[in-house]
Amino acid sequence: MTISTQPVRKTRQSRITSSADAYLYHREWFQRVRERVSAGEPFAIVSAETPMEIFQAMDIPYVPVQWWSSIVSAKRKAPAYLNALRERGFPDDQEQYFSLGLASSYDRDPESAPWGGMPMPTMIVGDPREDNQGKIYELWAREYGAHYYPFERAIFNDAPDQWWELGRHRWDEMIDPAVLDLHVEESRGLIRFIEQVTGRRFCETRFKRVLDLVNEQEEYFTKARDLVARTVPSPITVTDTFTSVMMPQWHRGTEWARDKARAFYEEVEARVRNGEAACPAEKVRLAWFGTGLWFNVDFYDSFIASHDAVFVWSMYLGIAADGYARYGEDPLRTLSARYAAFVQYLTMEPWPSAWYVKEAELHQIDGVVILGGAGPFTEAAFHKAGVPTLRIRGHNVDSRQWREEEIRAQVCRFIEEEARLHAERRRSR
Amino acid sequence: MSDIMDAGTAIAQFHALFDQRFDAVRTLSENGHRVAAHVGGDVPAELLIACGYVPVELCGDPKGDAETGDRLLGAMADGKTRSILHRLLEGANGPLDQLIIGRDSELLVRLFYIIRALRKIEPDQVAAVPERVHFFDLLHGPHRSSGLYNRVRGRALLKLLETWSGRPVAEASLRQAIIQCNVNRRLLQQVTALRRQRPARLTGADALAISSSARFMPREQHSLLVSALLDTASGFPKLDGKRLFMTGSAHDSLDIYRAIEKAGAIIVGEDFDWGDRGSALLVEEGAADPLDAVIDRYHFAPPASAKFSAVARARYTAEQARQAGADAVVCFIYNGDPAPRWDVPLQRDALGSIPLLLIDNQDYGGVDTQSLYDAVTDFIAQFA
Ligand code: SF4
Ligand code: SF4
Repeated sequence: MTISTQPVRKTRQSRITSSADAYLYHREWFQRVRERVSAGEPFAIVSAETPMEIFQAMDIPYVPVQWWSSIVSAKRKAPAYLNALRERGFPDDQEQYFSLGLASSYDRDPESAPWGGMPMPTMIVGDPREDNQGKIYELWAREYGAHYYPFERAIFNDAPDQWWELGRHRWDEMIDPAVLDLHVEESRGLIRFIEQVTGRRFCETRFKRVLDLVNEQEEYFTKARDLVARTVPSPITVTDTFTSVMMPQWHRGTEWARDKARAFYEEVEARVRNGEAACPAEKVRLAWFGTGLWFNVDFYDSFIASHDAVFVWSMYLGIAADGYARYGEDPLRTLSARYAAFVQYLTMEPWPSAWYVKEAELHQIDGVVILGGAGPFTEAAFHKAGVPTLRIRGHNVDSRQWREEEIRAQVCRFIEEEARLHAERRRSR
Repeated sequence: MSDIMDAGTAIAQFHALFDQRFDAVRTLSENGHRVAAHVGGDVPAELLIACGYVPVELCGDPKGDAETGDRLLGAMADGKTRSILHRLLEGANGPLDQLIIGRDSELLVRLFYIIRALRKIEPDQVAAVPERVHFFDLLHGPHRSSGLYNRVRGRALLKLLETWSGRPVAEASLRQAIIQCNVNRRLLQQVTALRRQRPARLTGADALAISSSARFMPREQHSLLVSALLDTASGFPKLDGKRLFMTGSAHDSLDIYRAIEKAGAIIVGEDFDWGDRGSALLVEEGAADPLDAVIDRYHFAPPASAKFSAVARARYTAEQARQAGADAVVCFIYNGDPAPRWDVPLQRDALGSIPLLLIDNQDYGGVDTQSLYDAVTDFIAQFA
């Protein structure tokens, strides 16, 4: 088993100490997975909105596509991999978050592949929504000779707008039963598929335990989100949440993840109690709209020194707080209630905008920086709520169009000319 | 001699019908028909006909304006979907009582989302869009669960149509509508057969005008015109150009076909809805439950590009190209149409020795037909 000889990236000094060892745990976990897989154990690549809890309950290690793409991007491999994709006749400018996964499968050299490369998967489970996603998953599975399980995704016509209020306990009032039934049926199929392919057995007791651990974890994130939202100056910035929230979210359903979420909340709470702020002279509170800039995470804190401007919100902690915890009698149906309508919360207007505005107001946000393709409604909703927005060009994993100087200057101007005014009004209230 | 004359006039009639597609809703309504406008080929015409409606499939206008659609959908959709949205918001299709949007592609999901959001946030912008908008979520997944789900949605759609039309649907009406649509598909399959003869007896542009005009008029009336046309088939020309098969994006105008055939090629087949794929599968007429039979036809229709397996799609394209006796394949893709580009490598494998010319990044509203003509001319010159 070759240890990757890549230089270990200096993990930036995080205000949340537990996030540093979360990163190390994750690396060690990934190495252990490589060992388990080379010893013949099953391994799955899954999309972020497929029920990972099923794999957790069956003790089958899995890697989420979106996480893997963020690692490929953070290791600056995206441009080379996307070129390899084009050379094979595939587009390199569509769905990079997913196509990067396929592209990374061409690089089988543990010396160059990030973290020694993806272990050989037994199966890929995707929830193909976009017209081309199913094809990308299919092609990816063919590269590995792995099975592909396409988890079908339904759309329903209408639902109440405050989905974050009904989600926890009243999801059956909110989600069209036909959509929920489909998701339960696809989940049952997935369990039988895994049982047949891997020989692993499904233990209902362990499954319920996993679901309870997930709920516990998400309640800690909710308390942390609420605390950050109401505390001025903010105890942390978004950079302190990426690892602290994403790692436990990828490992949700384990004691480790639940404990990490608790440690995160306790550290935030301690910082608030001790009056420790990310920027004591905080003047402007910013929100980042879109997926994280995995190839350039230091971007977010770079406006503290120059403008006392802090990126307080990104969707990761917010979605963990409002999108995951689900309570119910029937475990599989309750799990389906987490995923069945996920895509519509975040894409079917006016649900996303209503939620983003709620989060922006909760966090006392002075300006929203939007990466790439938000629809016109999101900006209109922020403006209606009096929150200024700035749209910047770029993609979160494909760094080839990223113009650092140009974008920094844009954000600085936005802070100075728009967000600052909102901040002054906020403070005078 | 008279056959040739009749053939020419019969074909011209379909071109006229095709050119008037943007007035179909108005004309039908003025003639006392009740129109059910829909977007997407996955909306089962049989159900609409059974409820006494004439289904009209709304389409884009590559020569028309599309700013509102471009502004609202932007990079989230292709030119055709943006044009459809623009025309809906401008009321360009004429007065609509209701609108049903299918899930042929995720671009139509966004079309539905935008209309629904505007209704809540800027209602004046959707004044021309009917209150009654329904999203018909037909799934194409490979598992039984999709089939069960589609049945639930099929029943819900029929119930909704009964409420909208104000009368229950007798099973006999549904069976009658199934027969009507099957008769039409069988006639269009004969048109396909004429294209596949060597030499071909119809140009691609003519065939597309014939098959797609069924979507803008009463199905029975269209069938009468097609059968009259087929009676004049002996007068059809013998066309010796290079035989091309079209794949990639779906077309809702004849401009691209005309430009390609001007280069001396004949388009002998295609794998999208308005062409051969639209009449590829009949609804089982003797089925115990006619509604299930209709849903099965749309669920198990041959693979389109959007959402379908690239392997299955490539196999279908190659199989159809061979059956059509194509010498080569042209894969023409519009900007913002995300699926077809991912099929190309596997299509090339499945086609083997049959060459494929890829023409992508095409702008729906502004295809440079001259460079298209040049590209096709060079391409067909390469092989015997
Ligand atoms: S039987 Fe008990 S120990 Fe074994 S997997 Fe289930 S819950 Fe865990
Ligand atoms: S981009 Fe210009 S204004 Fe902004 S921090 Fe850098 S030097 Fe200062």
